Amino acid sequence: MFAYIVRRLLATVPLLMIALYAVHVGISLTTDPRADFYLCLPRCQDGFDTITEAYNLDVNVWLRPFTWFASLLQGELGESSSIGEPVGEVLRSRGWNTALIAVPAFVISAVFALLLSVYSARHQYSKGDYFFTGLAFFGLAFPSFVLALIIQNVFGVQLENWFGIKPFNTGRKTGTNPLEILRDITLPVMSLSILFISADSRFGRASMLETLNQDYIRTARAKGLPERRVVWKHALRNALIPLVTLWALNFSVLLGGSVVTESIFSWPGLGPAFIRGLFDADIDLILGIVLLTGMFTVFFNLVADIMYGVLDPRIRLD
Amino acid sequence: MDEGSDFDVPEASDRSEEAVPLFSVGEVEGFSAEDAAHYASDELEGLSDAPKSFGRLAWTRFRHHRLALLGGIGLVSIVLMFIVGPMLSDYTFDQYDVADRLLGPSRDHWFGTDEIGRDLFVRTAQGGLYSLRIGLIAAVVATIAGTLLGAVAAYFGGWTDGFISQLINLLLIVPALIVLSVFSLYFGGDANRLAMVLAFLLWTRIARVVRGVVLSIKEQEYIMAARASGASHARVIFRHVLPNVIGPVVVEVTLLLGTVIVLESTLSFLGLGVQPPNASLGTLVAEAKGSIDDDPLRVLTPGMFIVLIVLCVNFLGDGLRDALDPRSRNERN
Repeated sequence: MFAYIVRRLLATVPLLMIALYAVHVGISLTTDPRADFYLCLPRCQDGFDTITEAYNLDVNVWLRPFTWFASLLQGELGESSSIGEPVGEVLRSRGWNTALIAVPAFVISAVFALLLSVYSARHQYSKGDYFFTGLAFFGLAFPSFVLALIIQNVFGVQLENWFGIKPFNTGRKTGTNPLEILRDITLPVMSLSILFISADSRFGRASMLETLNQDYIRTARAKGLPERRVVWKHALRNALIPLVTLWALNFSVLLGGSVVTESIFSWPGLGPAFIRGLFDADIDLILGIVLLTGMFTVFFNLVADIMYGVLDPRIRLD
Repeated sequence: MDEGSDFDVPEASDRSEEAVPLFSVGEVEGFSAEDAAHYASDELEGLSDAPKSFGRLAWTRFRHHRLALLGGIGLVSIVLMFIVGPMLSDYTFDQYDVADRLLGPSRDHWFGTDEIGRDLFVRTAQGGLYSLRIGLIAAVVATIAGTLLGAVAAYFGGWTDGFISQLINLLLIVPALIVLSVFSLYFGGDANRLAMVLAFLLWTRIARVVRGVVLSIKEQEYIMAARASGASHARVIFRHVLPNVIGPVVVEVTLLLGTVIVLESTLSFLGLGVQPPNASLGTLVAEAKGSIDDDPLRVLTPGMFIVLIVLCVNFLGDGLRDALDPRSRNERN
């Protein structure tokens, strides 16, 4: 098992390196941190040269990533020009903020999706099944920005107009004590959860239905096991396998920062930092975020593969 | 329901629609070739009820799928409205009149006007068509590329499979926004080019589905038989392998279309997609979001059109999946 994990992690290192290389070259080809300096060139030659020096801009574009890799090996992620702090520091503080909404959103959506898919599969074609499946269809059709804008407007603005109270904060993070944080994260978590519940519950329903129609479930029922045990123990274990893959992907996406939702709620997470870095040609910050999200993707994929083995002991990892 | 249903229809009857008529009939009045084929099949099978071909069964199931039908009708009426609506309006896409700025819905301006007095109904219609066009092109290109690459990867295996699979993994790691911002600098905000970039991001999903199907097909005897009788790899892939993946691919295309429309509107919302003077539903939402507190309707109208279009497309895809899924072949719904 340990050897398997090490082998898997080592196998992904080249892939991550290629991804980072491609991102570095792609961004270097399309942006120039000296853009503002060209207009004043004879006068501000000093500043121009400083930036050229700092970003190795006189080196060939295709070779430039290697200096970045060299500094990465020394644990240096560089300095974010758009935020003005070391990239490591930005990733740490922003990553925390993102985790504050990513973890609750993930837990809530996973729990609800699971309950809904078990309910829908057990009561297939019932009124409740139609209702929840319809809702999931509806939720799936919403682009994240439309949903976030509506939630922000209804709960943050219209509620105040109607009742004269302001229960939720519509933007940014205001406090540090748990109650204030809870108030601030409610709306972003709500919009993220709705999206993920819609996607996961449809998937989970199909997976649960397929499992419930298998022979061993009939056997379990025939030998007189209580229905609760059949569903939650025998069926769920197998039905979870495809869901685990999806959850791994979801969690890594959420932890990497949701650009749209976080931006709309002005949440100081990785998402808005990423989009700002993209517009400001902040190459070190972008590479740092890509490195982080890439590691999340790889890590949670691995966790999912290990979970397969736990859920279904027939699946061997080696 | 019952496990035996899979075996009721022999595999060969899948293709009976494409089959060449057993004998050719001259042009006899009132007796078409179709009738002849119909009677012939009756006689051959010795059944009073002609066995239904896979295509016919699929169409019957699709027709009885009420949601799918609803989705199809909804989509057609939205597109018709987008095409015909602006013709009935007195205004054009970019005609502005600052005196008429920020009007609410009225008989003159059905959806109101924006900050420089452009008619929002015409803009929504044009933006909607633009979104649909990008979505359609991207979905088709992604499907063709994904099908070919997925089939090639699975068919040849080994080194080719490894390379294409790693490419798919790579695209999973590199964030879509980076690919888009890098490409959009070279490709601009033009619809066709934006569609190409989106297709470049989305072919992986189809490729994975096709790869899975082809992996199981290529082990079957008839592929070996085709190879043994001297068919080239290209011929085997196009004639013997790819016709089998049409079902899953058609389903994926409709589902992909929904994804592309959402993705395009999101990118346009962030300012990375469609660039002014062009507009898509996403840019319309982005333009109106600053004044959402005073005038939520201007955000809601284009937003709800995205939702409606995607909803219809997804219903259609769901119906197609039920209709084309061979496992549900003999079920009545």
